Amino acid sequence: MTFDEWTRSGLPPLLRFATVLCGTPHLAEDVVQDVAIKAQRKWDRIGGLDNPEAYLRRMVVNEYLSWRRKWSRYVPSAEIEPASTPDHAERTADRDQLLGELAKLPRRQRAVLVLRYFGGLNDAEIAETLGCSPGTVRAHASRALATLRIEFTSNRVTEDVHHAY
Amino acid sequence: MRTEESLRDAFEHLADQAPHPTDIRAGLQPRGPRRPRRTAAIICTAVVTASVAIAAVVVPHVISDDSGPAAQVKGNTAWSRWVDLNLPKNFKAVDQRFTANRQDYELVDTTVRTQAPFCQLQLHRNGDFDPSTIPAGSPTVPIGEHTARVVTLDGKKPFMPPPSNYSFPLSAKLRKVLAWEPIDGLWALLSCETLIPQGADIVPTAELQPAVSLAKLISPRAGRLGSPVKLGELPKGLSPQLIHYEPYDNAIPGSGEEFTALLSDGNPATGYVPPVLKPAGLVSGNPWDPARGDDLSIRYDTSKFWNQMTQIRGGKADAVIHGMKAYYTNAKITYSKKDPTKVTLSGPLNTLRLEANGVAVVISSYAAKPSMEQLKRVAASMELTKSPKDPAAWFDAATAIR
Repeated sequence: MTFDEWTRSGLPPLLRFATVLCGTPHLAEDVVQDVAIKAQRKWDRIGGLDNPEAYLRRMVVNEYLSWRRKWSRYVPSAEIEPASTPDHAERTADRDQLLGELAKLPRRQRAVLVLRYFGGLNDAEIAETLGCSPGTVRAHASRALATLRIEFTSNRVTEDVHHAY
Repeated sequence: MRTEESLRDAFEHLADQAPHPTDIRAGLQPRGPRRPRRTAAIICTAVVTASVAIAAVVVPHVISDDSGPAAQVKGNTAWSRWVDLNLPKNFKAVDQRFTANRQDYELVDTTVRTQAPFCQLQLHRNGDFDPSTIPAGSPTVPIGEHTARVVTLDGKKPFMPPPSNYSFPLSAKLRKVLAWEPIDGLWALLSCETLIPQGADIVPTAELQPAVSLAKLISPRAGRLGSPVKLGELPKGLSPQLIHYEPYDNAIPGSGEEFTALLSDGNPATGYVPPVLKPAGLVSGNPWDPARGDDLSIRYDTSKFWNQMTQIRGGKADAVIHGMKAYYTNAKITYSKKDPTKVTLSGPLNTLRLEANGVAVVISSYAAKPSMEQLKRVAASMELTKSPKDPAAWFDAATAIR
């Protein structure tokens, strides 16, 4: 896969992932922009990997964590369109509240949830992405889910999630 | 009660707000091999053949396509239409050029006598256009599901240098160019002007609205490009570099289908050398002139003057190929300005010209002096359409030109 081919097929899903991770499309665009520029320079190596998408996703996560350190003024906040009909109002309000609470999570906890529930990665893969142990991943996830008051319905959450990324 | 499904739902909702990748792509440096840009500024001598006069006003048909998406085009996709223009009836694509990574269309509103808008459309792929040249902060305008940037140019910054020999060159001091990506990886640039009388002068003025209207009609659906010839044996190392097509229009007496394929060995140091620019008083030349480095041109022509050689030679041909009289002859046929019946031949002896039944097939070599036998082999190995005036029945250029 050439870099140009990747920008056509791989860039849109990476932007979706980054938007969920960062909580705002503006920060996601900045993060992915930086990642894409770096990736372009190193594409001779990245393009030859078995799974360049995983590598690029890891770059985005690292960049996000880095950005969060460098740019503390960026506070992830969901930019939600208003509910279109009253029927959806309650559900939308719940989602807004959830997204607001997600924005307040420590960044590594948020990253774990995004990688697990949006990225469809298992704990080992998340650990590799974040550069920590699977046990740490589980700890982050457990604390985050508790903070968000989310009922944990499965011990094998990563086996049945869809791979949205 | 919140569940993991609530979390997934929230993430999906966030993901749907992801930004479009256009701006990121625009910020990246173009990569990959590029075909050298064809510098086509060819100015010819004052020899203006009657054919050129016809070509200057030729007005062809509306572009249509009859095939599926680009992925379904078989053969060389350079010789297919990358989009469907869906031109309104009043607009004609009077000049169409196709190369590996760029396609050019000259569009003219033929129903307006004065102040008719005329436009240039360029399509670029494989990094042929550098979107980072779009100035930051350029205003945007919606084009269907896409967003186009409106780039204002002052003429000193050639954002979109056009092909040579356009009948209606853009010359407004301030140009407005729409730039957008109708298909991922395919950039479209569209600019329109109108000649507006101002006192004693006629001032070319950029017009955005016709460009926006035309842009909205363009459909990201690839189409078939017809070719009246199917190439056969070619001199070693040559491959097609450009197709130039000027369609027929029945409103213009004498006009015809004019289809030209230019071939090259890829070495600009060999082949055609454009004539040196001469002082004023000269006019720009043949629309089918080759570019520097082209080695062979094959032109198929049904315009009024298809039978020039037959007239000059009194029917005495050097050979008969495909049932057509074939003449080994000079490159140019020149009509006297004072007496159009007086015709002379000039230029190098490098051409084989086939004429019959309203069709001329002109094969010219710009490499070393070709022998008649070489050109006859090229001609004899070609296959010609049985429907010269019906482009819909022509061969598929994607496979016929290769």
